[in-house]
Amino acid sequence: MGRAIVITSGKGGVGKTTTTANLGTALAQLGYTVVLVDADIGLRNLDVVMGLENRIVYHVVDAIRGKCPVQKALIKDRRLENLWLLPASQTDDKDAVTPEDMRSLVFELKINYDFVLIDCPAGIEQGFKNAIAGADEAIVVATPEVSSIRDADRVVGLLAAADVPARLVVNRISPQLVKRGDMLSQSDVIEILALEMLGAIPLDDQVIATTNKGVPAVLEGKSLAAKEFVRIARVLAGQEIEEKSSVGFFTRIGRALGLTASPA
Amino acid sequence: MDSANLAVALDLPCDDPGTPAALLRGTARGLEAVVSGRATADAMIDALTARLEEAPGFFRGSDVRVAVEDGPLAAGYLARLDELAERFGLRIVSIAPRDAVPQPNLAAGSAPGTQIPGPSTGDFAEEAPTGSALLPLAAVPAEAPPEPVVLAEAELTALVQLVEPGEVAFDEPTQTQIAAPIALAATPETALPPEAGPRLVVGPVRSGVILEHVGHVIVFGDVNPGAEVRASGSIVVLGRMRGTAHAGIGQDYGFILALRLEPQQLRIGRMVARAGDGDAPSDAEIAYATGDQIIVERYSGKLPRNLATSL
Repeated sequence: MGRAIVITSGKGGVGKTTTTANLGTALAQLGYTVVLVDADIGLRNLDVVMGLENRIVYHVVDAIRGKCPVQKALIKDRRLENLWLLPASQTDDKDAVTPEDMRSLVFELKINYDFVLIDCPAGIEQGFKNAIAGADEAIVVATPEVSSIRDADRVVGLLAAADVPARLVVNRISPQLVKRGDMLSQSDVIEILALEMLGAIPLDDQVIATTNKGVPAVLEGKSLAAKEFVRIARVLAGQEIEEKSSVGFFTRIGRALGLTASPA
Repeated sequence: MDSANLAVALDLPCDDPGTPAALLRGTARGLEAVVSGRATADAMIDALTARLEEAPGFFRGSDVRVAVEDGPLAAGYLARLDELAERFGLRIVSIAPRDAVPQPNLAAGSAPGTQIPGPSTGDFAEEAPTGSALLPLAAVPAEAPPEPVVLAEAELTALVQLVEPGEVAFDEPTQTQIAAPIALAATPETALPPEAGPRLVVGPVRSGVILEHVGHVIVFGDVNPGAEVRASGSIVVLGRMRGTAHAGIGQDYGFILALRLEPQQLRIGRMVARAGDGDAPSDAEIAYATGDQIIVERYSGKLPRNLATSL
C-alpha cells in the first residue's frame, strides 16, 4: 500500500505545482512508482509543468465518473519509467467531484503505486476539501512572506481538524535577502507555523526556466533547488532523516518547536 | 459540570417537572439549543429569545446546533427558528434529534410522569401544578437571591433551563420564571465560582480559529495572527499572543497576560486597543482595563490589586 501526500498552501502562486512535479520526479528517480494527481479541476497546469499536456485523453473527472478505467486516464511520463500523471479536467469545476470520490480514487491508486502526490488548488473551499480527502499526510508549501504564512497557518489548522499530519516546505528562500534582513528566514517561518520542516527550496532562476519548458528542475539536475528537492524526496521516502547542512539544522529546530499539533 | 449536575439534582425531586420548551447550553462542541417537539413554537421562541437577549452580543456570530427532543417538530417551527437565528446573528449548523446523543442528565430532567399527547399544552390545568423551577427555588433560602442575570453567572456550560411560561405557573410574572432557573443553576456551592473552570488549550491556536469560553482561558503555546481568543474571564497565553484577544466579555473586567504580547487587537469588555507600531518588549506583559482605557504594562509577577480580587 502506497502513501498519499497532498501538497497544499492556502495561498496561490507559492509553488505547489512546481513542488509536486519536482518531488514526484525525484521520488521516481529514487526508484519508487509515483502518480501525480492534479486536483486543481478547471485550472489544470500540472500537465504543463510536466510537459505532458498534449497527451491528455482522459482526465480525473472521467476516471471518477467511470467514463474510463483509472489506469487509462494515467499518462506515463516520457522520461521516467515509473512516473504517471492523472491530469485534471479543464472544462469542469471543483464541484464535479466530491471528497468521497477523491477518497476512493486515491485509495485505488495507493494500492498500485508507492506514492500518490496530490496537487491541491489554492483556497480552502471545495477543491481543497476534495484534494485532502484521500491524503494520508500533507506538505504545506509556504514562501517567506507574511501573507503566505498567514494562509499556511490557516491551512495547517484545517488539516489538523481533518487529521492529516502536515510538514512544511519553505519555498523561494533567498539567502542573500535573508542575510540582509530583508526576508523572513526559515526559522522565522517555522516559529510561526510550528511545523516540522522538510526543507527549504532556494530561490532559483533555473526552476522558472525549466518549469516553462515543461521539464521539472530535478531532471535538469544541477541547480541548488533541484538538489534540495531530491533531498526532500529522500526524507519523504525515509532514506534520509537528518541532514548536516543548514537546512538540517533548521529541521531540528522545527522538530523542537513543532511537536504540537493545532488545537480545535 | 458540577453546576450542570446540580441543576438536574434540584429538578429531580419534582414530581412532574414538565418539559422545558427550550434550553440553551454550551457544550464541548459549541452552543447547543435543545428544543422540545412537544412545546409550541411560540413557547420555544420565547424561551430562546429571553435567554439570548441577556447577552445578544456574546452569542452573535456563534454556530448553534439544534437538538430536537420528544419527537418531530411541528410545521412552521423551523422557519421560526431560522428567523430567531437571523435576528441574533446565529448560524444553525445542524438540526438533529436529541436522542442521537444520549445525555443522562437531560433524560432525568424530562420526567416519566409527563404524558401530554401531541404538542398541545392546552390542557395543562389537569397536570399537577408543575413549577419545576419554582419548587426548588422556594426551598433555597435567601442566600441566592434571583438577581439580574449577568453573563458570567449565566454560565454557558451549566444547564440553564428555560421553562415555558404558560406551563409553569399562573400567577407569576414571566420575568421571575426566567430568572428562577438561572438562580437555580447558581445556588449553594456553585454560587462561589460562577464560571466553569478555566479552559486549557495547547497551542498553537492557528489563524481562523476562534477560541471561546465562559471563564478564563489559558493557552500553552502561541496564538497566531488571525486567531481570536474570547473569554468572559481573563486570558493567559504562555507563548506569543499575536492574534486578537477579547477578555472580560460581558463584564468589563479581566486581563490579558502573555509572555510576548504582540496582538493585532486587544479587547477587554467593551474597550478596544490596537497594537502599537513599535516592537513589543521581550518581557511578559499584562493588559487590563482601568476606567475607560486599556493599560499594557510589564508583568512583574504580581497582578495589579483590583485584578487579583476579580479572579
